[in-house]
Amino acid sequence: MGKYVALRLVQLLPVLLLASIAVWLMIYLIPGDPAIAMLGPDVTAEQLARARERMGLDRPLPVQYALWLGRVVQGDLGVSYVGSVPVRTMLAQRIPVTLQLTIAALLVALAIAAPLGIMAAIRPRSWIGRLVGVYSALAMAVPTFWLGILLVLLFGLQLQWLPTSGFVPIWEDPGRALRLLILPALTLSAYVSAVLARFTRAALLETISQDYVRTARAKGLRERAVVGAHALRNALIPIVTVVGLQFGAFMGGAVITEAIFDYPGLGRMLLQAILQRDYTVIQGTMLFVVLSFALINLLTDLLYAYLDPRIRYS
Amino acid sequence: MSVTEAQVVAAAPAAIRATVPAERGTLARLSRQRAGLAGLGVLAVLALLALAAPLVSPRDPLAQDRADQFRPPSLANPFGTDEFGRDIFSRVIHGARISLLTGAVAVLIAALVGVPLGLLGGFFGGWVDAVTMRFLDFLLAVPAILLAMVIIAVLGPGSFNAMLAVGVVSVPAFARLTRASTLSLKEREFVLATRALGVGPPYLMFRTILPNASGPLLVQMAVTAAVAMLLEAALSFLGLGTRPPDPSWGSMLNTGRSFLHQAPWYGLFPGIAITGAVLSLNAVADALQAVVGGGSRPSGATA
Amino acid sequence: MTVPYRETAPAVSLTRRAFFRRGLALAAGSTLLAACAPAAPPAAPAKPAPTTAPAAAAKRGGTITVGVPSDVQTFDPFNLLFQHFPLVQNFYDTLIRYDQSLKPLPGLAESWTVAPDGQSVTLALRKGVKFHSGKALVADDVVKNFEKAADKDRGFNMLPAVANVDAVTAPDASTVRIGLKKVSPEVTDILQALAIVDPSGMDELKTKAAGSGPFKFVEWSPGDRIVMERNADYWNAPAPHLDRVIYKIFGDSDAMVAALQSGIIDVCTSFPPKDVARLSSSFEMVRGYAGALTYELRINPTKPPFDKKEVRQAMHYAIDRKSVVDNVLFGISEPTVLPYSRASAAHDPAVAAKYPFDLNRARELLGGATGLRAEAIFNSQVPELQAMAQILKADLAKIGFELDLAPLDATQASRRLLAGEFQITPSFSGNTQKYPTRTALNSIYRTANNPVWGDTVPKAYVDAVNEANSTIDPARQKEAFGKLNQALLDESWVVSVAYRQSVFGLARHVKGFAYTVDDMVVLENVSRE
Repeated sequence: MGKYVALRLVQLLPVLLLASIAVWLMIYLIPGDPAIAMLGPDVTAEQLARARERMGLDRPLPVQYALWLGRVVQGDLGVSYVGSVPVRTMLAQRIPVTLQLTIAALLVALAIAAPLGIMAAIRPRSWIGRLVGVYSALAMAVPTFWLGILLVLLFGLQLQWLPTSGFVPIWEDPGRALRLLILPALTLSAYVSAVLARFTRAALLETISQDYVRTARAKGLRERAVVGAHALRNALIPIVTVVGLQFGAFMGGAVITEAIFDYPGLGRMLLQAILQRDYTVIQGTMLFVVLSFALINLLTDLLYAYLDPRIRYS
Repeated sequence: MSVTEAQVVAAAPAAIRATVPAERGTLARLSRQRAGLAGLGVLAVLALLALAAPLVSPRDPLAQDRADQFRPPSLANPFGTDEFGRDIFSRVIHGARISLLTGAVAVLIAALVGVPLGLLGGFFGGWVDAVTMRFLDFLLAVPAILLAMVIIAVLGPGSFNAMLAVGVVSVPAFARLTRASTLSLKEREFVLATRALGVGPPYLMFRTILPNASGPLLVQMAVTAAVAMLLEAALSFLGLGTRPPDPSWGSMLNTGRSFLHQAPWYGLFPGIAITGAVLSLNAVADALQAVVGGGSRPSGATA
Repeated sequence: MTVPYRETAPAVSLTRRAFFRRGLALAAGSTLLAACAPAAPPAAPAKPAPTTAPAAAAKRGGTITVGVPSDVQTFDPFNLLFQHFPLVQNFYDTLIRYDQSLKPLPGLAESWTVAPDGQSVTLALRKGVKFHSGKALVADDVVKNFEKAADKDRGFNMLPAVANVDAVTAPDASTVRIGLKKVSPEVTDILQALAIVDPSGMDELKTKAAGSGPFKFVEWSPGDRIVMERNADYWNAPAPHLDRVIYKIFGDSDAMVAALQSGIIDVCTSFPPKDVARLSSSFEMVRGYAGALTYELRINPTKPPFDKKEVRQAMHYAIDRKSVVDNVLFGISEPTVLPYSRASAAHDPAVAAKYPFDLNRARELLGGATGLRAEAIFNSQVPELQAMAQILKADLAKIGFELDLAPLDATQASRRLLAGEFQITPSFSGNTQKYPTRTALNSIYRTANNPVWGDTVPKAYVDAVNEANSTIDPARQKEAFGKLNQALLDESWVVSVAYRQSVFGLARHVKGFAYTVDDMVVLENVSRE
């Protein structure tokens, strides 16, 4: 097992390298650079040229990339062109924010999906079963940003129950943080909850009809024990996969929810950096996103092995 | 089966895939069909509206009547008017064009690029496969919205560029799916037999394997179209998609959001439209899945 | 309108014109000066501002939180982008200040004298001023600031502003002598614009403010907030009254408004005009200076179809200014045909009547040509520009002119604006309330190195600018302004549309809020009830 993990980690390196080259190429293709972003349209062409020179932007592309790579290998992600703040610091500030939102969203999704899935599996043809089906279909079709707006409209403006934007770290002020988290977490969780509900239901249905479960029932075990012990364990694998995938996706991809609720997260920072051509920040963040995605994949694969003894990695 | 479900399954190691169940029972299959037909119906209506937009919409979607800002829904303007007094109902109808077109173009691009990639990788294996897989891994690791944003930043905003970006983002799904199908099909008897006849790889790939893998591909197309529509709306929402003043459901949602107090109904109808279209596509995908049945599972682009 | 800076008893209190009269005993036509009326006050806002209690009675202490719509990139006041406006006047002082009618008031300079020949200005620095670092302000510091402004790498937006400054010396510790290359009526504008930076902190300005202003820099959490605290040694005692000010950075203005409503912030800068009507009963809406910035259409006269003067002039009649004010700016603005604010010496109220919204006139000017086509680029991150573009497009379509809209992000828009790579672009210019030739600080108004004209800027315009710049005789100035305006309207490569007027939303417990003529936020007199 250890060898497997080591192998996977080593395989990470070429992916990261390729990713960084691809990102570098892409962002340089975008017209404009951080110099003009910072100086605005009313400076002289000469001031612009000198600024570009000072920032090292006039050097050839491969040279700039090589310099950046050299520093990264030593653990230095560089400094933001625009704000002069070390990229590492910026990441350290934003990652917990997005993490807080991601975990909240996934927890909410599980909290919605599990009971729905279980109920639909136990009574598939009842009105509950159909309701779950409708919910899943809708939650997967509704655009995230529209849902966010609707929630803001309803709970924030009409009913005025909840605040509509802002962020507070959960360890600073748990009560307030939770109130601020509800709407964005709900928004993000909708799609996932539907998928998870479907999976839970399907996995449970499958397991329930299997022989060993029938045997357990025949033996007189309580329904709950039957469902709980065997079926749920079986459903965990696809659930773990979904959660893993979504975790990775949310870490960088919750841009829109972050924008709607003014959450100072990773996605927003990346969007800003792209708009301002802050090359070091873009590179650093993309690197982190790809890395975390790959690591999460590895983790989920390892979890599979734990959950299902049939799986073995050489 | 839907986007992420399918993607989840595709991502899981082979040993696990067998444990994920498909819907059983004729009852289930039949109801899926009904939903699928309903979905198809809705899509047909939308497509008709999109095609006949200039005839069907009561007003010119670009005609401004600036004194008439933010009128609530009425007989004259069923969905109200926007910040320039334009009729939102007409704009929603015209917006269907962009959304449906995006779905179609994105699917086209993704299929035209992804399928050959998958065929090549699956058929030849070795380093060809390794390189394509690593490239796809990278594309998959970056969240779709971010990748699309960067592509648009390079190409510039606009509907066509948004379609391109969304198409590129959807390539990995098609490639992976085709590759999986190719891998499992290439050792089958009929393929080996055809091979023995001495035909070259292109024939084998495109005329022998591909037709037999087309079932799941069809499902994937429906799934990708849905995701594409959502992505395009998201990009327009961020201001990166359709250029003003052309109406797009996504950009209307964006404007609606900034005028939430002045005109709460503004974003309601475009949102319903997108949801309806995506719902229909998902229903069609589900129905196709039920019909096509087993075999390799399709996967969706990243959510 | 809230009271601007607290006026300490000034050693000198002069109108602009009197400024020059004092220094120039030999000025010809000095008798004419008495006949010149002072500049007209700016338009009064709809809602009268409450009077501010005398500073001595203002409540001490407390913290207020100010919402700003974007993060800063630097604390260097010379690098003046719009997002830095709320901060500059609170960290830094300028040599002189303007009140709302552009009357110069003492700042760090207690008095100033123009030499008889007009070739230099001598400042008497206020004594006892300390920078936040504890260092006392001496004349040499001012010299160093002028050096920084003239430095191509460190000057940023101040570089063109001090173009006319020659050598700056410090005859003694509290006297500064500013040599001018030629006689200039713009001197007060320079003194008002230059924020004085502590030389010992000049190298770290990217991350830390180093000034002498009412508030000291405490911390900057990028993307989150900026914290400043009271400068107990501030020279304009008893100001400031607040203990701390926190600037909270928001990603968008809707979130900022929501934060104001829920009490998270006390002051909302860049308050969106669309929400003013809705919230004016619960919050105090302070309208900023009308004409600190002016919305305009910048046109490239070297590319078809705008290479014909008539086509450009047609834009004056094709843009529905009233609609822009009503639909886009929700009434928080005024239409304008020339870039200047009302208080500006070059303001000409008669011009508006000559350029009404008249599509027929526009069509005539187009020469009846149809099938004309152009692309309008704009910064998509400023929604007003997009709205303006859409209005123009719709109206131009009625006269056979096809305008394609191309939104670009701010960086791309800046790049193309500077490079002249556009046909027409909705944009805005600043410095439109100062001495009229200060508009030339915006790249599109430059007389040389102009992004669209290059060095072949129309002679009539260049001559008029030079004329206006080299005379301090108000009559000749007026004449020059007339020629300047005529040249602008004739060549029409910039078509002004409306003023950009900021709105500041204040919670009711915030007293003493003020802003400069540049719409910069002034917190020195603010107290919390």
